[in-house]
Amino acid sequence: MLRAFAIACFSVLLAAGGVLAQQKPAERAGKERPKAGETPLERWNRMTPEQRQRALAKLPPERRRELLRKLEQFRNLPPGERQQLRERYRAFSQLPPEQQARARELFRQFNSLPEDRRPVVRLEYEELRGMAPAEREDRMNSEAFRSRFTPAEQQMLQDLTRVFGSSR
Amino acid sequence: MDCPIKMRQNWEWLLDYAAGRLDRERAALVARHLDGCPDCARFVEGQRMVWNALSQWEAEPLSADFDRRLYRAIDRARPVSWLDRVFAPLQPLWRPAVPLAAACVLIVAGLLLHAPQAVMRSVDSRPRAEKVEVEQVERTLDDIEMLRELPLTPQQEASPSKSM
Repeated sequence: MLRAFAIACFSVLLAAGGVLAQQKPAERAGKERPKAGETPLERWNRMTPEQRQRALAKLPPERRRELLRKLEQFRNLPPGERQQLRERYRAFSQLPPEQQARARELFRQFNSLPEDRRPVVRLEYEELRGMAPAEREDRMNSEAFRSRFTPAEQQMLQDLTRVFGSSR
Repeated sequence: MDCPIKMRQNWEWLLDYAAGRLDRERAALVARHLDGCPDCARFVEGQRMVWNALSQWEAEPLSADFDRRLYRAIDRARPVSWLDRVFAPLQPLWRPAVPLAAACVLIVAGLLLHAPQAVMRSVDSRPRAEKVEVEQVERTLDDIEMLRELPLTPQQEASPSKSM
């Protein structure tokens, strides 16, 4: 009885030692552990080429190509713009998940606009978001605004500025 | 009364008489028979001497390791399996280690329970982590593309003073 217990104890110790031994190298490496405030993109940049290769291999070819294209596009941006986008992304990632989801949904709507309408709507959005709420309200109730944008665009601009406009 | 020795019956009367356990009526019969039967008288006398010797005998006190020696003797008399034979020489080593091993098991169990992630981290967790990682990168790039097109962040944090 005692002998069986002792054998069981040593087996458990050996197994536990194995588990802890496996755990340690990964922890020591620290490479895979996310640092506080680090974006997934920064974590990606810290990965070794082999790790990236392995991660990419998990994706279907089409998604892999698309991901590599976007990465390349981001890398080719001027450093200032890249930095600004990073800061924008940090601010965005701190929004509540529902608000992030709403932003993505609005962006999908924006992307569904005809190509020639997108710059017009974008410009209007940028102007509206810098306005005080009352001023913005006046502008969106104006005849000029209504005649310039379709009802769908007006609704989109209202939604966009309600969520991301100035609250001054 | 017939002679118990010669007739080979009622032996127990002689034994009980010698021990003083026989009832009065039978005891009187046996006493009368002993007067005329030297064999039975000798037997009863011998039996009385045994009783006297037993009542005067005192057991010697047991030694301190009597139980241990007794159990060892019993163990030796028992059939021994090959496993017992293999581990028998190690007994003096593992016996003191049992409480230590039990303590270690408790500590390890505590550590494992305290850090369940360590237990959850299996061999195949790494590819899954990579998959999550790559999906996060995809999502981030999508978000960055979106933020490049439209500054969908709170106005205060996307002030135009920030230079490109």
